[in-house]
Amino acid sequence: MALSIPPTPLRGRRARPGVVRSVGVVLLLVWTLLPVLWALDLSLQTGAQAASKPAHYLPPTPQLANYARLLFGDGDIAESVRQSSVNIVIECVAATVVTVVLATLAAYAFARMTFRGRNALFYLALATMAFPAYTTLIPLYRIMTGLGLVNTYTGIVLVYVSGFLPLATWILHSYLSSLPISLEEAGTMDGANRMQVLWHVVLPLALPGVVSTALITFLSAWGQFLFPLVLSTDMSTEPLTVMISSLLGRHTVPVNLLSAAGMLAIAVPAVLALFLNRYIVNGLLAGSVK
Amino acid sequence: MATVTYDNASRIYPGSNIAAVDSLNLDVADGEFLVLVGPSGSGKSTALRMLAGLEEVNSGNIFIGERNVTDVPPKDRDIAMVFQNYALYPHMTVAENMGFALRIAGVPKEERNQRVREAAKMLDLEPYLDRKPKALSGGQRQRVAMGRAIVRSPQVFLMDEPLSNLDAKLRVQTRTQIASLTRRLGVTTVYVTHDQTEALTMGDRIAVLKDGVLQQVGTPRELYADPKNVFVAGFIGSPAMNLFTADVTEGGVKFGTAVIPVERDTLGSATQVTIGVRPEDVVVSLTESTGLKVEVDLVEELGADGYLYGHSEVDGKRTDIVARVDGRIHPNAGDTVYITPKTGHVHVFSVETGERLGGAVVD
Repeated sequence: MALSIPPTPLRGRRARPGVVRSVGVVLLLVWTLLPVLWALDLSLQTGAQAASKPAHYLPPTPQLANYARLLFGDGDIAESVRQSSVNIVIECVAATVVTVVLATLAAYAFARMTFRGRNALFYLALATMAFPAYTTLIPLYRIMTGLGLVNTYTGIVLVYVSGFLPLATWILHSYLSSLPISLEEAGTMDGANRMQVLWHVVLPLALPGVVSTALITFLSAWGQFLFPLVLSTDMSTEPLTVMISSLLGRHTVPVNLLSAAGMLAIAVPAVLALFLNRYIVNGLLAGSVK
Repeated sequence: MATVTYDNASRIYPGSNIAAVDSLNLDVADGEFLVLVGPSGSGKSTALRMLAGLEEVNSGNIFIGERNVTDVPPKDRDIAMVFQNYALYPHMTVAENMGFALRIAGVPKEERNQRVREAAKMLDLEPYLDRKPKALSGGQRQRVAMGRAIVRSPQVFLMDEPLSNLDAKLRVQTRTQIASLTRRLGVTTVYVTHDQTEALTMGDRIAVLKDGVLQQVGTPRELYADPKNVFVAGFIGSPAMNLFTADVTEGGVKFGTAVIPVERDTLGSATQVTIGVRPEDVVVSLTESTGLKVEVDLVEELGADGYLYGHSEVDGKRTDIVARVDGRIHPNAGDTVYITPKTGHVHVFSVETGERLGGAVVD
């Protein structure tokens, strides 16, 4: 039997919320992206153009000279930018690797092994996330001084790892808990020990979760400012983020060059977020929808 | 190859004070196919997982051959298990799945591939060796799970309801395949199912469990003809045995208006007993005669046979009755029939304990 479906005035009804939403999205984008676009605009201008009043909303003669100067040129500023870029990459990669390895082992133990005080320990580790990080700044600095780790990669990486480990463990814990346990039992029956089960069975299945955790950790490490500001005392360990901010204090640094340095600092997380955003969402949602 | 022995083995889950498996004593002979059967919650899967080492044994011991494996970790027990959901490694191909145990054991690649191919041939899996599990049908996945167990040539096969995820037709086919395969390989097998038909068709012997307690172990025929108690009588056989309370009278037991001769020695001093008659062991009469008067509610036609479902008044209580009838000539719903058991086909149980009184029915 043919049913005649009455035409529903969907279009007319949907149009209004659509407009409101679009306007909202545009406002939000302007709000968040305008400073970035402004910096991008400045970074593509010459010194004279950047200093002109009224300002140029688009670079009159777009050029990459500022970037070239920072990346390949001579001079104090360029060298500082290059050295601090190396620093930030080393610190973030090392912190990410160490955090992910430790978090995976910890999360697996918390998810699958039974031992006295397991839950108490797990929630205690998570509870540290509730403390504002800054409250630990001074004690950490004292500890690092005592250990002779101030202004070393090791010191900064250790602090990052201690800061990111709870969140990483939590994300991986919810991910590992959601995997079917019978696969691990099958691995055990096939003669594999715990580490072999973890390596051959669990990790390949948990890879999306591991990637998420690594990304989130890396991006958090990249965005650090206060801790490295305190813990690095010179160019040998200072990350790009801290270095750029210190440039602000020097009157001699042209604003277009400074903008280019800022764009360099944004580039890495922006690219990661653009291409791997599904893993970020995946990681942050782990265990919440199941 | 090896024997398996449960020696007073118990499992009590943490936070519970009731044993999931209560002092299980069971011997499985070398090369035997033993089926653990029972309703859900009977402890059959727990018993299997205790043997696998996936579940702790709280008291008692488990032996594989002469070796006490009670505290041996699962990986060192040399047993292979087929899981209900197959538990295939989703990131590995069929060949990798089947060869994983050998890889862990450090078997050289050549030999590994050789053994995987042999097993694949046995199970008609050769064309699928390079596929991932998600690209296989349910039946193929089931065979890969079997293959993973076979490749290892373990001492014991454990199977935890391996057919429950297959459709009815495939289940019947696979049932016979598994039974013949394990017998050909001669590997001791412990098989868990809740399906009594599977148990009857596959097992050399069947162990019936209820509430963690072993009720009876025996060949399918023994369990069918000589159930030790009311539970086994009702659980084994489909449709289930008719069981109801009957009064003891002069010379036997009352069955409606008929009296079934039962020896006084069997009955002891009981004034009432539970009697059981299988649906195929009754004679149905449409004309009024002695026996139990039954109102027919429904007749299920299954081709050659049919099953008559009806109810009767026994001891003032409505009692459901099932009887096998001819598939073509049979009473219809609404009819009144009179049923009597075939001579020598009545099971008698104690009302108080549920235990069997007297010997097996004759065939």
